[in-house]
Amino acid sequence: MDIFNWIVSAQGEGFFSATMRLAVPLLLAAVGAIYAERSGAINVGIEGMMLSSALSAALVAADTGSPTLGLLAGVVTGIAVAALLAVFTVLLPADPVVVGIALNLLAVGGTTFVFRIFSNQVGTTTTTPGIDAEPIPLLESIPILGPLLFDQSYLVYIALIGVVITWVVLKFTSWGLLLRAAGEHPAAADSLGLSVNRTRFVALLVSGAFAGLGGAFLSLVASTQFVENMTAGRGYIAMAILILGHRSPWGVLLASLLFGLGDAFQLRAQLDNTGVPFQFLLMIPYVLTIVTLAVFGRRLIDPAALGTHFRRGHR
Amino acid sequence: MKSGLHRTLAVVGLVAAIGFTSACSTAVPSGNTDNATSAARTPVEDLSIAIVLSGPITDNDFNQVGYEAAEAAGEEVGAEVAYAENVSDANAERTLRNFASDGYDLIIAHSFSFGDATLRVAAEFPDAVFMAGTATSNAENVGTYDNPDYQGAYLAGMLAAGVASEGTVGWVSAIQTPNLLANLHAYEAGAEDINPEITVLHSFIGSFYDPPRAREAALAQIQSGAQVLSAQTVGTIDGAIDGGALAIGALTDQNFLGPDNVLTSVLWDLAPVFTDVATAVQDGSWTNENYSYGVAEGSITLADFHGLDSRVPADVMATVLEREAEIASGEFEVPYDVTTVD
Repeated sequence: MDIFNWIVSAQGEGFFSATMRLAVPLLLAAVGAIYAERSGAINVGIEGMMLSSALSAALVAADTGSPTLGLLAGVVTGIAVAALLAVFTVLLPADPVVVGIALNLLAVGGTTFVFRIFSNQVGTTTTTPGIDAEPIPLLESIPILGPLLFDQSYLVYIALIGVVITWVVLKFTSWGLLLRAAGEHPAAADSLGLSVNRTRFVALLVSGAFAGLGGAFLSLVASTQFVENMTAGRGYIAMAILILGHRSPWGVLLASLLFGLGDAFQLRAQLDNTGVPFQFLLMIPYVLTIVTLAVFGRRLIDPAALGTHFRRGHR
Repeated sequence: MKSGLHRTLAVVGLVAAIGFTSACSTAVPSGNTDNATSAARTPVEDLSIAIVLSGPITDNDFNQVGYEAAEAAGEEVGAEVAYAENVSDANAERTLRNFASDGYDLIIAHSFSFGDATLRVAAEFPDAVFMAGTATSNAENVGTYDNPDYQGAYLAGMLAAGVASEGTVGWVSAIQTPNLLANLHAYEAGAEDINPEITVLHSFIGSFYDPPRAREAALAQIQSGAQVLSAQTVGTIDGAIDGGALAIGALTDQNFLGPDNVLTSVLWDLAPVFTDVATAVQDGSWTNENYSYGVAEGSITLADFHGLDSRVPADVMATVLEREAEIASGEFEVPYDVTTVD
């Protein structure tokens, strides 16, 4: 009964709600990347999109006093950065990995530059009106599920609804079919008169919108300020989550929860005198991801046309 | 096969990005260098100062303190000040050499990991004066300074233990560096000074700037009973606000980050050291010693409580102030301990 007592204790509830908070920015970014990769477009620019959105969300929220407007600004910024990536990699035949990494580096310098212009002077960090958790009465007291799902900010619901919508779009809509065709056999899709490149362009924009939500989560929910380079590699972890989740919405949900669980666990394990050096504890979420990938990743098949540039009439 | 190549490239990108974030994390073992004296130097008339920083000048932390102190010293002595920020260890030597060959008279390497680079460059430019945060040795034209903020951490530990009625306090930081370890151990010693039964929790988040994870580390400590947290990394104060705990800021007055939660901050003012060094370079009296400015020199102080001193029991506050005076007079020496912890 010890375990049950722990689950309903303040520590247990804190553990499960932290799991979700740590998972959500990765979940949002990875769900968006499903659209891009299933259509054959690689989005290596997630990190830059998240970072840019974290900044714009923080600035707009601080300026207007409205976190919702901040969130919208984050989404718009994510889409704008994604459009840049799409122009170079879908319309022009640039290498998506090179452009993606270039965008990430541009975002590090660009956000620092813009942040310093708007924060007026060195030393004034913009604190944002954050989006608080809103516990749902009754549901929040369900063990495990309560703290995991019903004691969170509304962005968590947006992320979960995003998972369901993505599943429906991919599985049951004609656009989802077109998306998958563009990723598997673009020439066949093209021969039916469907536009491969328009599909990929839109898929990248959708990916940008989700990465934007993930970035806004970092500066509005997970903390209430913008700090230079605050994404700390989460965009790259989201790419690993995408692969671990087999580019499926439910898989990505599980994979990001696994990472969040590992992270929430190690933060608590550090406080018990386990004798394990903290460096090893810090590795737990990453090792968990790699081991799971090694065990369950064998059957993973990339979309056949992933990362290729499509030009009508050329092979 | 093409996507296999992409995957590899993406991993390379990931490694590069991690390299970025942890660039300033390697630390040279601390230890004060010998107070060897150097020959008298020629006075410098038109002094120019350059400072090389390992992180952004907007961090409300280590790098901002260094940058602002260099600016203040420049203003005080009438010197031109240049700076380079976000300089990784690999780039430190090149950046220092650039400043030296541009003719800067006083070059400050503001990191605990630029020591070797400073020594190499200093050997090539004997006319310039170099000040390193830490170095394994000093040279004719290389002096060092340190950050004895562990003296302030002792006072912070006393305050935290005095306020925490349930007997648990916390400490959240980035990674283990000698400086932060000295801070942690002094914080623990200070807490035990007030309450020998105190439990001091500590967390490392693994990188210098990751506010979301620092916030989660703070919340985990609060859920384990911590009532007061020492915020050694950005984001801790967010967690204290969320969990309804108090926090003690570090290096700059961080009350604005949480007016109802930030009890006080341990301030580090480098301006006195930099100003004294700049003046000494100007008049030719500079020597290559280790400049350690702590509580006694007024470089380490407690910030304004912004009204939250009402949360501190009067007897605790009196003991803290008494201890602060004893540290300043040299009557009490804060233990300096950089043993690694799990």
